[in-house]
Amino acid sequence: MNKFLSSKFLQQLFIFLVLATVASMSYALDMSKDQAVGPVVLKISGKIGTKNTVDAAVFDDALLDALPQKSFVTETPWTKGSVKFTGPLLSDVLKAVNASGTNIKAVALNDYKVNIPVEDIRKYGIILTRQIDGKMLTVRDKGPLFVMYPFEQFPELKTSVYFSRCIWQLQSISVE
Amino acid sequence: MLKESEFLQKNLQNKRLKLSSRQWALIVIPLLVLAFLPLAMFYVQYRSNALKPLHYSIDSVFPMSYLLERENARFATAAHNEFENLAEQSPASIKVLKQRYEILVSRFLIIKNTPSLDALKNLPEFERANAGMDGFINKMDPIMERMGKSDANPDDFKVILKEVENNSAFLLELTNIAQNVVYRKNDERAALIETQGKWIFGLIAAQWFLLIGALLALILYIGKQRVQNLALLKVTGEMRAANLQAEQANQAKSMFLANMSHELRTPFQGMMGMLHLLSETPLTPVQLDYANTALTSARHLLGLLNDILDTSAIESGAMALNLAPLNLPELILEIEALMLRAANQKDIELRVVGINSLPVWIEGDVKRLSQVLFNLLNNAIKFTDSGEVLLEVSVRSAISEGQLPVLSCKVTDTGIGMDAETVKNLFVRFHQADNTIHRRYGGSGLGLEISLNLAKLMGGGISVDSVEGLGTSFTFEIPYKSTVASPLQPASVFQPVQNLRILIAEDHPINVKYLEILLKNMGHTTFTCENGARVLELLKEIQVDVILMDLHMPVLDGISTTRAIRNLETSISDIKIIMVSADILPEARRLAFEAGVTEFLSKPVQAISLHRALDRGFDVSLNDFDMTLADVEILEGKPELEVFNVRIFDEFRELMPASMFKKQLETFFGEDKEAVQIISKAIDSNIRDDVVESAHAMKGVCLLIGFTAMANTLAKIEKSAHELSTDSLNSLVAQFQNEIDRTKQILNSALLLH
Repeated sequence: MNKFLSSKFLQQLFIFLVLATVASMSYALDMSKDQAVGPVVLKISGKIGTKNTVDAAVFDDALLDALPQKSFVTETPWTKGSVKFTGPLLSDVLKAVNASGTNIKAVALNDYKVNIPVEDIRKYGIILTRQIDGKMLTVRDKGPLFVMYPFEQFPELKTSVYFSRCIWQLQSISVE
Repeated sequence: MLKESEFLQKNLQNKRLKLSSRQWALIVIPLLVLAFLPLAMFYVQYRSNALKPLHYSIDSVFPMSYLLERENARFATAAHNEFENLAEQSPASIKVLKQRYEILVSRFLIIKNTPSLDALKNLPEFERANAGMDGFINKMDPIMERMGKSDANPDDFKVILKEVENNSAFLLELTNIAQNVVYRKNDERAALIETQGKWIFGLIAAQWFLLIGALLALILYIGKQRVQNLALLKVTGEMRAANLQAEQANQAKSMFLANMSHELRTPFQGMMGMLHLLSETPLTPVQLDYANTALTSARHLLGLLNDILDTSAIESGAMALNLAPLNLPELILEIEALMLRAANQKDIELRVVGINSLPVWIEGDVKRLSQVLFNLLNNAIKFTDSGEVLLEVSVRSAISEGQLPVLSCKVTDTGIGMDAETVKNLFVRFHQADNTIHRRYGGSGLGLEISLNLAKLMGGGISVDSVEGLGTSFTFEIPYKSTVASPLQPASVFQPVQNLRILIAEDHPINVKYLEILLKNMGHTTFTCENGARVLELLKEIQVDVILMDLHMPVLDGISTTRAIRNLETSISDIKIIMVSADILPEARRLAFEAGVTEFLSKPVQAISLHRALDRGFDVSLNDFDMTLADVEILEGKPELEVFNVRIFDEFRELMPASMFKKQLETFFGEDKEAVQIISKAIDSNIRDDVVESAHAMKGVCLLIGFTAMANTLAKIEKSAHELSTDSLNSLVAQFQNEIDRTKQILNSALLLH
C-alpha cells in the first residue's frame, strides 16, 4: 500500500518536472545558440558575455518575442494623452546577452546617440517598446524600438534628462 | 493745577497711542497677508508650469523643423546616389533608401503629432509645409512601395528628386519661421519675466515699507511704553516712600504710645499708692467710697495702659516669653477661683472640665498663659447675662514625630454671641461687636488682639465659633513641652517676714513716701535716698538687708548700681536687690536680671507683690500676679465695691494661712451676729451710746477685712445714732443684716466659706 502510493507520487512528480522543464525552456532564450532569422531589429555589442554573431548579439522580431513582454501606461511629451507601451524589459535584453558594463550607448536610425546608465535600467523597469496601444511600431511612428521610462510610476523622472534618454528608432546598443 | 493738566494730557496721549497701536496691528497684518498673496500665487503658477514637463517646450520647434529639413536632404542625397548608380542597384541599397524615406516621414509626423508643438501649427508656413508634405507622402508611398519589386524605373527617381527639391523650399521656410517663433517666444518670456520681476520687486518693496513702518511704530510704542514705565516707576517709588513714611509715622506713634504709657505709669503709681494709703486712714464712709472708686478707676486705667503697652511690645517685637516650669492644673484651678467670684456675681455658672487629663508640669510663661485665659474668661463672663461659662481643657497628643502635643482650652459661653461679620473683625484692633456694645461693656478693645498675638507667640492660635444669640466659643491652642517640677517653688504657705532693714532708692518723692509707708506698715525699717550713687555711699555707712531700687534714677540708674554692688568685694555684694520699674517690657526685666537683681517688680508696686518679693528667698524666676489682681477688680466694676473691697480683702487674706483666715471669717460672722443683736438690743433699750460704740467697733473690723458696704452702713448708724428714730435705726440695722447676707453669699459662691 505504502509502496504503491509512493510510486504513484513519484510518477506524478516526474511528469510535473518534465512539463515544467519544457514550459520553462519555451520561455528561455539562449543567445549563444539562437540565431536571428528575420531582419535584424537590434544589435548589441561591447561588454557582453553572449554573442550570436562574430562580434555582437543580434535580435530579430522572433528573438525579441521570446523575451517576457511587459506593459505600462504613461503620458509622454510625444503622445496625446496616456498610451500603453508594450515590449521586453531593457534589463531582460541585457541579461540575455550577459552584459556587464555600467553604461550603454544607444544609437538611433537617424544617428541620434544617447547614454543610459545601467543604474537606470536596474532601478526603473525600462521597456524597449515594440507596441503602442497594441499596434506594432514602424519606423514612421518611432519604431521599431522605442526606449520608454515608466514616467507615471516614477514622476520624478519627468525631466529633460530622462526625456532625452527615451531614444526612438533604436537600432543598436553598445555596452560600456 | 498745571501738574494735573499735564497728567491728563499724558494720559490722553497714552490712550491715543494705545488705540493707534491696535489700529496699526489691524492695518499691518491684513496688508502683509495681501502682499504675500500675489507672491504665493506667482509661486503656485510657477510650480504648476514647472510640473508640466510632459510637453516639450516650444523651443523644440526649431530643432524639430531643422531635423525634418535635414532628413529631407539626407533622403535626397540617398535618392540621388541611387539614381546615379541605378545599374548597380541592390536590395541592400534599396533598403537603405526606403529607411531614409521612413525616417523622413517619421520626422514630419513627429512635428505634426506632437501636442506641444501646436504653437507652430497655426502659422501659414506650417500650413504650406503640412500640405506639401502630405502631397509628397501621397506621391512617394506608391513609388517607394514598388521600388525593388520590379526593375528600377528612372522616372520614379526623377519624381523623387523633383519632389525633395520642392520639399526643401517649404521646409527651409518652416525652419526659418520656427526660429522666429522661438525668438518671439523668448522675447515674450523675457517680457513676462520682466513684468513679474517688477511685480515681485514692487511687492517686496511694499512689504519692506510695511515692515519698516511696523518696526518704527513698534520702536515708537516701546519708547512711549518706556516713558510710561518710568512714570509708573516714579509713581511707585513715590508711593513706596509715602508708605515708608506712613510706616515710620505709625512706628513713631507706637513708640510715642509706649513711652507715654510708660511715663503715665510713674505718676500713676504715686496716685494709686496715695489712694491706697488714703483709704486706710480713718475716713467717713462717703470719703472711703470716693477713695475706693478713685482707686478702682485708677486700676481700670492701669489695665488699659497695660493693654497698650502689651500691644506696643508685640508690635515692636519686644514681647518675649519667659519660659519656666509651671504647674498647669494648679494654674487652671487658681484662674477658676479668681474668676468664680465674677461669674457668681452675675449669677452665671462657671465650670471647668478636664483638669484631670492635664499634664502636671509644662514649660510655659505663666503670666502670659494666664493673661490669655483671663481675657477669654473675662470676655465670656462679660458678654453672658445668664447660663454658664464652660472652660474645657484637654490635651491632644502629637500628630506625628517631631511635633509637640497641643494644649487646648475651650471657653464656651451662653452669651449674646456674634454674627459672621463681627466674628470676621473680632481680632482686629479696637474692634468690638459694635459701638453700643462698647459703650455697654467697656474695655480697651485690645484684649483679643493681645491674646491672639500671645497665642501666636506661644506657637498656637485662637479660633472662634459663634452663633448670634446663642453663645460663643473660643478655642485657645498651644503646643507645649512637658517638664519636671521647678526646684524653685514658692512657699505654699505665706510666712511674713518682718523687721527687715530696707534701703529705698527712688527719685520720685510720692513713690518714696508710698513705699516707705507700705514697708513701715509691714513692720520694716526703711532708709531712703534718691539715686544709685547715694546707695553706694550709704551702703558703706549703714547695714541693710534689702535694697528696693527704682530702675530709672538720675546720676546712677538701678542697673548700673546693681552691677556696682555685685562687683563689690565685701559680703554686701550678694545683698537682696528688688528692682522696681514702670517699664514692663521684657527687655528691662532681662537687663535687670542680667545685671544681677534678685527680684523685679512692675510699677505700681502692690502690697502683695512687695510682700512676696521680700518673702521669697532668692527665688528670681517666679512671675508675680499683680496683673491678675488688677484685672479681676476691673472686671468686678463699681457695684461690687459697694459690697466689699476685693484688694483689701485679698490683702487681709494673704496675711495668714488659709485655715487661719477661714477661722477669722467664721469668728467675724459670729461676732457680727452678736453685733447685730447688741445693736438691736441697744436700740430697743434706747441706749444710744452703746449703739455708737458697737457700730464703731464693728466698722473697724469691716474696714480691715474690706467689707465696705457693711462698714458704710455701720458708719451711718454710728454717726446718726443720736439723731434718728428707733424705726429709722432699725431699718438701717435691717440693711446691715441684708448686707451681711449678701457678703456671705458672695463669699460662699467664691468657696471662701464652708
